[in-house]
Amino acid sequence: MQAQPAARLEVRSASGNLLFTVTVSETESKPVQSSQVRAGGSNGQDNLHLMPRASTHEADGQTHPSPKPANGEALMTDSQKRLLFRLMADQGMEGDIAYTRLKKEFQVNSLKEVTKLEASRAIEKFLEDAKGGRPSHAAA
Amino acid sequence: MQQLDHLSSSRLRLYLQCPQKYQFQYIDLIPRTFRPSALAFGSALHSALSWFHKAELAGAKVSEEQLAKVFETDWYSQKADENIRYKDSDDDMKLVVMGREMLSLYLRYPQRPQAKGSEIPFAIPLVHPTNGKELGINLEGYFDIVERDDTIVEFKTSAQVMSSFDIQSMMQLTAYGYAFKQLYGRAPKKFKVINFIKNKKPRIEVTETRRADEDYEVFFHLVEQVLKAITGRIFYPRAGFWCKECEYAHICPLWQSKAA
Repeated sequence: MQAQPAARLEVRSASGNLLFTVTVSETESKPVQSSQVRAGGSNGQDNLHLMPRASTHEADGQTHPSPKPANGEALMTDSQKRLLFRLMADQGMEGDIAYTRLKKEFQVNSLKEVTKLEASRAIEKFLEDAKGGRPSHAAA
Repeated sequence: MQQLDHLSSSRLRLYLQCPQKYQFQYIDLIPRTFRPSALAFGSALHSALSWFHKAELAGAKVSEEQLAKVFETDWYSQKADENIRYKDSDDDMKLVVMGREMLSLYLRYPQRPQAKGSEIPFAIPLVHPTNGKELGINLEGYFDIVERDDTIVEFKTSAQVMSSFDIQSMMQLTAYGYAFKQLYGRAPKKFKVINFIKNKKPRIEVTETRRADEDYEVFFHLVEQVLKAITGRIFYPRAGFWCKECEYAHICPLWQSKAA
């Protein structure tokens, strides 16, 4: 999988401590060479680089590929959706209120209509808005 | 139709369980009509645990209430715009309460992992451990936790205790050990499965296991054969206990022939 980072954002606490780094990227799958094995992580040792995860994540590691609408654009992944709800929660919006707010933000009837790119942009925007605010619960 | 761009332990496991479901899910990309509550619950619990360990690694002091809030947010995210199918004994509120109880238990658990990394993704080429033969495709996945002593920790949620045979034959752990060895040039010290058991009174059970070099060779052989079958488009329905909760039963030839 080859990552093309679009943005890297740092989430810091009010005292300036780094809480999380979020990398928003688009990926293109391609086998890597033996010499290019990679692991990623925002906090591990052993030279763990940041690297995009599988597009979605389900219980016990079960993944479901990101579905594509007729125009071929990938749809929002589960992890993007989760991050958006966490960002909403950080702003005091939870449950149905957060859901309604997100549908309004994307101007859709269902969050299933939101594309991966739109979700990335919204995440960037919400993280920008939250900068300098309270410590965030959001983590990719 | 989706091209095969990588393999993962869950994809391999699904193919071995039911090749027909693998085709529906990963080749034909047929949208599921519902999501079993157990899967959605497991996802929310996993992501909350991952958030907790990342926060701790970043030096944050996490309260029980904060963790519960993250879990509830993730649980809501799982449900949003999804048709969740609850098991007979489950409902939304019951699962929220159970998730909170499990996390509270985890926070007080004395054997909690000493993480040096949480939710660490990997992508490695599939190469035979001794003769270097390459399959031309990557194995992808992520480690839930890697402990300071190189123990790989895997979280599970299940309705019952896993037997030592279940743990010993868990292909997922072999896949992770194989990946770890390729990434870091050394074998993981051991594997630890932290199982959150969904009883009336939830509890945590920790089981440890190990893998030998031969296990990685057997794993590679298995992957090679599954890859051949997938690229050869060998997909057939396989009946078992999993059919009861299958999201594709309504289009499954086996299920339909039973119903006819």
